[in-house]
This record gives sequence, structure tokens and C-alpha cells, in this order.
Amino acid sequence: MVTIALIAVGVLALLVFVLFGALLEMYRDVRQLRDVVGILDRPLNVEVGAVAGTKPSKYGLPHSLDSSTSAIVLFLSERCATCRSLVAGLTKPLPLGLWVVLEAKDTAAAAAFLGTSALAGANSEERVIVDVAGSIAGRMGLNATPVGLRVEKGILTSATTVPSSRYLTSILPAPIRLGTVRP
Amino acid sequence: MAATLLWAGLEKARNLAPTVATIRRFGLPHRLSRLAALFVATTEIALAIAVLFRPDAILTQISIVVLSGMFGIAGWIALRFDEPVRCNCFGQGGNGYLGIAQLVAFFPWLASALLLQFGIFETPSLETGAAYFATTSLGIASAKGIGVLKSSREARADRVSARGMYAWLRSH
Repeated sequence: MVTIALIAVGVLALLVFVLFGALLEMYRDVRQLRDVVGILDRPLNVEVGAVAGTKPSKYGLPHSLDSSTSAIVLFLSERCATCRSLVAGLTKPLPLGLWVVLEAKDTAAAAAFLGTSALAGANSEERVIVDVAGSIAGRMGLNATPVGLRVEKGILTSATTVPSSRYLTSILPAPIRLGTVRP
Repeated sequence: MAATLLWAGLEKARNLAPTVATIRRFGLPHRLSRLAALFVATTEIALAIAVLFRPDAILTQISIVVLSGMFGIAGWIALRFDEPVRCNCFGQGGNGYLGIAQLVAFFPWLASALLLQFGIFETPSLETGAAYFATTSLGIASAKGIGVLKSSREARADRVSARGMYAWLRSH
């Protein structure tokens, strides 16, 4: 009886193996279709022109960014749907190296947006800047959101659109970890 | 050994086309290639079961050497072709080519057959064989399941990402 049960388990496991194989193939097909249709992440480069090579504080961004080794300044707008989905995907506290500039028409609108988002109480308020009437973005000539501006060694270097949370995660600077402690 | 044979045999049996394509590269007509592919897949599965239930049988040990020898010869012939021949050893989706790997793999297979010959002195009971069979099957099914989980997470990320991009396109 035990032998028959064990053989039955083995045969069922093999059946599951075959079904998993078919499922894996289906996932590969879906991925291929997505690639052909072009609905995978396709971020666009934003031409930053004269902004490249300048210090962030020149445009009203915090001075601490000028001494940052590597950071992403994410420009969001309270009126953009993608921005809301990006904010919904953010973790508390904000990932290291991420600064958020929220464009809003006034402080009340900004407070309303922050109140309903993951940015509220993220214990990283100093990295969330409210840009009333888009003054910071205006100084840079930036008129699209969501856009991620890269800061390298305290200098603004490049910018891309940020179409998804996954892309945002991929461009965030990797944290530098300590090496093994030697006694 | 049994897990490898089972995995390879079942993947080939599930979708014979890639194996048929590989065999056709050796100049066999389509009908014969299909028969050969079916033979390879069935032999691998049968051999895996034989390893689990009758590892002591001389026929099992000789079959291992013969099959790995056949793969080795196929690898040697494939090396002489101008263009590489896709292996499809573990079904569709692999990136391997027939060649050195099959030639080299002959020696571990030979060693395994010798290990069975000189390491097993009595026939395991049917219950023991069934336990080995269940364990091996569950093992390969679990390994495949990990791949499915990984793919499902990637597919979900793609879906969420695509939704994000649609929202972005609408807002511009």
C-alpha cells in the first residue's frame, strides 16, 4: 500500500513538473509578446542642456544635495496619475539617495497630496521638497513629470522620464555597504 | 543521476519539436528524426526509473554508458559542423550547444555507472525504489516550481510597469 502511494506521489509530482514546464513556456511567450508590442519599460532621455554640470542648490534644491555622492531627484506633480502610482510604490522611509520634489499649485494642494501618499510620515521629510507653482522646475526649464534627475558628486548630470516604479527602483543609487569587520 | 535523466526526458517528451530540430541537423529525414527524438525522450525517462528501482541491474548500468556515449558522439559530430547545433538537452529555452559539454559529460556518466556497479550489492526493495522515485519527482517538481515563481514575479512586474507606462502616456 505504501509503495503504491509513493509511486502515485511520484507520478503526480512528475505531472506537476510537466505542467510547470508548460507554464514557464507561457510566461516566456507573454514576455516575448510584451517585448514585440513594446510595452516594457521605455524611459526617455530628457535633454537637460545648460542644467548639466551645475549645482542643485542653484535652482532652489537643498544645499545638502551639493555634497551628495549619488542621488536621484524625482520631480512629481500632484496632477499626474503616474506620479501618484510612483508615490504609492515608495517605501517608508524613502530609499537612500532618493529626493522628491512635489510640484503643486499651492501649499494646501501639496499638503492634501502628501497626506494621502506614502510620503507622509516617511521620516525623511527633509528629502521631500514642495515646489509651489513649479518654481524649482521652472528655473531648470523642466516641464514634464515624472522625471528623475541624476546627481553625481554634487553635480546635476542627466535626466530621464520615470514611467514606472520598477524603473525608478532600477535607477536608484545602490547603497554603499561596509566591508567585513576584521578583528 | 535519475533527476537529471527525468528532467531531460520529460522536457523533451513535453515538446518534441526542439529535439526533432536538433536531430534533423544531423541529416535525418523529419519522420525518422521524430522517431529518434521520441526514442531519446522515452529512453531517458525509462533509464531514470531503472536507476531508481534497479540500480544494481547490469542493463541499467550499460544503458547509462551507451546513452551518454551516444550523446558524446553527437557532441563530437556537432563540433565538426560549420554552424553550432542547439542542444535542447533539457527542452526548449536553453542556450546550450552540442559539443564539448557532451564529450566531457561522458566521463561523469561512466563514473556513475561504475559507482552503481561496484557500490550497490543488492537489489533495493520495491518500497525503497518507490521512495526514491517520489523524492526525485518531488525534487525536480519543486525546482521547476521555483522557476515558475520567479517568472510569475517578473510577469507581474512587467504588468505593473506596463500599467504605469500607460498612465504616463495618458497624462502627456
